[in-house]
Amino acid sequence: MKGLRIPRPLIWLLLALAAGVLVWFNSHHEGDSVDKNKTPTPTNPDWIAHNASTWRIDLAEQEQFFVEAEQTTHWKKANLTDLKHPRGWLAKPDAAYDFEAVLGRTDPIRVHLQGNARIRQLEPQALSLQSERLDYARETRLLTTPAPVRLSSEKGWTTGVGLQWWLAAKRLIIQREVHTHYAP
Amino acid sequence: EPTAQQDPDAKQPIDILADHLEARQKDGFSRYTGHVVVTQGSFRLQGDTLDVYFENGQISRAIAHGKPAHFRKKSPRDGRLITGHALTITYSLKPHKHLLLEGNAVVTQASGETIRGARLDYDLEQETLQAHGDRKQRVHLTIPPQQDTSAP
Repeated sequence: MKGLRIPRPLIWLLLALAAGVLVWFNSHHEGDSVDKNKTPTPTNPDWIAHNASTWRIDLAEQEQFFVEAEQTTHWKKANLTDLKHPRGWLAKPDAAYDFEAVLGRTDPIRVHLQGNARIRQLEPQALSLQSERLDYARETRLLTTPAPVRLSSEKGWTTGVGLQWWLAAKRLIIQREVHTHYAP
Repeated sequence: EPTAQQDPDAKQPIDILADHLEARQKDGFSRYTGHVVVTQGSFRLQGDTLDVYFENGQISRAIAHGKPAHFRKKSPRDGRLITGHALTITYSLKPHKHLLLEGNAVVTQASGETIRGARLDYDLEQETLQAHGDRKQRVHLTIPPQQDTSAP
């Protein structure tokens, strides 16, 4: 029996259809643990530690970073670390922050906090930020979230939806539905 | 010199609603844009944008821009409403609390008296108003006829 010849356009159509289904499936089936944030969780971690803490001092960057977590899971090859109930602080010459969340994920480029995530600027001026999720880009020191936020200081608070906070430049944008309450 | 009335609004918190906010901590400056509404007790200020300046963590000045920007406030003296609008309304706390209206500025007292000018400086503490004209717009005061109370 002669080989079944499938017309080339039909092949492209089938491939496009398969790709579309795959993309749709991925976007509707995100895991419930850490939001993959576009970096899927590899299998077989290299080590898991309980109630571990890490203190890193970077003389070149003049930065100290401390984090402790109930559970720390690390994948060496992906250089990826997942944290349960992370808590910690970051100190730089011009500012100091502490942070906590239900879940965290770090890689060389980014820190992702999720679940009642909170970052407090301790210096120069006390400012506390709360949101359901926060993403911190190490290189640009840019903190972002698409979610609702609440910023509190001793003088009052500001709520809104969607945030970009350039920590180094001390400049922030709240993108929608802004409400500031200020008690003189 | 009239004594400054105690302004009940001054003790009230300030609320600002807007579509968008950009804050620059280093400069002590925040810009609110989009349907901006500021309230403090009876005082209400509306505009397209609001620039807020801070000194030592306190608001020292707030500038509303609009087409036009509007304000309204109850007089601490008799509780009657004063309203006004202008292209720019600056709310300053130093050297004294006042509203500076610039650009097609109009202030209307509860009695109906209306004053227009290029620049109106309304002292919120003394409850005095200084009006300034310019080549394009002179000061214009409108006093409505007294209501005739003796009519049978």
